[in-house]
Amino acid sequence: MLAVIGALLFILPLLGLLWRMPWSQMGDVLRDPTARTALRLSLQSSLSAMFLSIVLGTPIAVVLARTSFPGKRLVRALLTLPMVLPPVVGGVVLLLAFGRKGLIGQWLFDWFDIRLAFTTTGVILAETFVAMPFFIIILEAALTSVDTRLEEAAASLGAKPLRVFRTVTLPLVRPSLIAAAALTWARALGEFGATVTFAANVPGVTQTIPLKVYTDLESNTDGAYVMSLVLLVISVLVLVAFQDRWMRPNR
Amino acid sequence: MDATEPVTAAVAPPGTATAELFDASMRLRRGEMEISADLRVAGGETVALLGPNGAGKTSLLRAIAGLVPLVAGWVRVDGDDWERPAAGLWLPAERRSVGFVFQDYLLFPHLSALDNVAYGLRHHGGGRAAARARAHDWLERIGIAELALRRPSQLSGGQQQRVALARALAPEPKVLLLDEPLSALDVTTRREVRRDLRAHLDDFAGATVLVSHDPLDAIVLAERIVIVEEGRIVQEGSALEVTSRPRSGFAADIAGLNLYRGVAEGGVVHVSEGFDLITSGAPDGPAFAAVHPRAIALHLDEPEGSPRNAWRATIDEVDIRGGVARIRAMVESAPMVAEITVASYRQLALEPGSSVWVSLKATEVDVFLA
Repeated sequence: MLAVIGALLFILPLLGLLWRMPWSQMGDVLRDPTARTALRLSLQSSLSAMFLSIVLGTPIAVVLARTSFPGKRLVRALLTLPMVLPPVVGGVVLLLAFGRKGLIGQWLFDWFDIRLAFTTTGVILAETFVAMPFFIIILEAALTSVDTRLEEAAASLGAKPLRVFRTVTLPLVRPSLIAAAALTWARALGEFGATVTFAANVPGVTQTIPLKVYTDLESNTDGAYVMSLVLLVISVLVLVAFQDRWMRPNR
Repeated sequence: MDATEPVTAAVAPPGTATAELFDASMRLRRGEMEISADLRVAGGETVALLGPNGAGKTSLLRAIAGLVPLVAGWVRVDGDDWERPAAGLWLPAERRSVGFVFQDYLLFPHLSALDNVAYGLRHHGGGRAAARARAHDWLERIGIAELALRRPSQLSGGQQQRVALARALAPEPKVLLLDEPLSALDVTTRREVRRDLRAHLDDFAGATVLVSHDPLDAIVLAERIVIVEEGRIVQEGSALEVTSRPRSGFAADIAGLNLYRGVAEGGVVHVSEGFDLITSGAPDGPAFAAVHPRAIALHLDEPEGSPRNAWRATIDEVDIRGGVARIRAMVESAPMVAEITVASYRQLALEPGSSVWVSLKATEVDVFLA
């Protein structure tokens, strides 16, 4: 009984969205130029964030899974902090670090004329900050489940560490890696708090779909509902397709 | 004094003055246990490290391969130091010319049999195509060329073992390491694979170090047996030396194995002590025949039916330990030890001096040329 109540808590809001969905105006909303801009910006920035998470997160996952060093638990906690940190706080710390007057941001601006806050690059940075931890912990779990003796067997056959990783380790974790990338992408796509704080809500520059939904709720509720449905469908598809992978990393 | 008298042995630093292909003096640690062993193996020779589980045998193999570091000593192969901690010298695993057949094979599950065998050939020059061609030759040699594109999970245990051996041998290593190469196989496959493995070892020009806890594997596959217990070498010698003069508890267990010297002719071994052992097929020549005590059956009356080896014998000695009766019977002048349960021992009501029929199936005789 409690399980049913619990489940309804999740399902009723979704039904509510379907109930109020302006089905007939769906096409109009999706053809609206500002909506399309937000959609394009969302796809660009979330795919970039996913790519960045793969490039930067893979070495981190390898270090966490394959080495031991003092303070490793603390390092892992710090790296995965954004998973539990309120995203708005993430945005604040990003501002303090990379903002125009931030710790690093002021040097970036003075020396290289690079501005991150309130730019599309800032959106990517905020999304990576929030989404990469998902990639790291899923890949780390997958790497830990690989039989390291297979890597030793490869080494005994003359393969240098990089070749061992490329030809043995990576193929063995590939399904988990794909799942991790998909979840990371979905998380980046839905990112709101850190983005709005660090990159603000500028149409065409930093206004991604979630930000547009928030803005439209005041003036254009139909558009907000349709966009919400788009995000919902993507999330459900990703979860249905890959949930096995991150709940049970051993294939 | 003759000017040509070799004096190098006296002045050369330890471990450098040997003609052996493989020369190692290994001190290493595995948890609390300290393992230490000196080992020399000539080209073409197979040495078996034999001992109970947990004796440190596998750790020694891993040290040779560079998968665990030595605390002290050296590993020297073909005149080159692979490892010498005192000199700060350590060659990583990928730079040591070893072939390693792991206990559970560790074939790459995502690669075909062919690509598994080709894996170690890729940096031998010639590129991908050449590597695959050579790998294919190897699959033909081990008789599974038609399964080249199968994944390891689609192969039987015996086939996996062969692929693991081919993968290790294909890059033509100087040292071949075999960790319990037959332990994962069932009895029938095991005998067949053991014979094939012996043939491959005979062809192999490098030094082979084999680890086993099964005396029969060691006797059949190796020229020399080194008994390792609790991280130390307790005895070293040929199979006959080790079985006839056991110097430790484990060696005594090996002595329990029935080992006979004789001449094989047309599948029959004429044992020196004056009886014939019918086998399921053996090459001709001077040979050893080994029979496991558990393969021998005892009867009060002359057995009927399938056993092709049956003799009248006299019970010499009975030793009961932990539910198992080890019964030594004399066939002609040769002792034959049978291991049966205490229950069946009681049923037979045997005692030293009583007469008994001893039988054994031809398929239970393992023959290898001396």
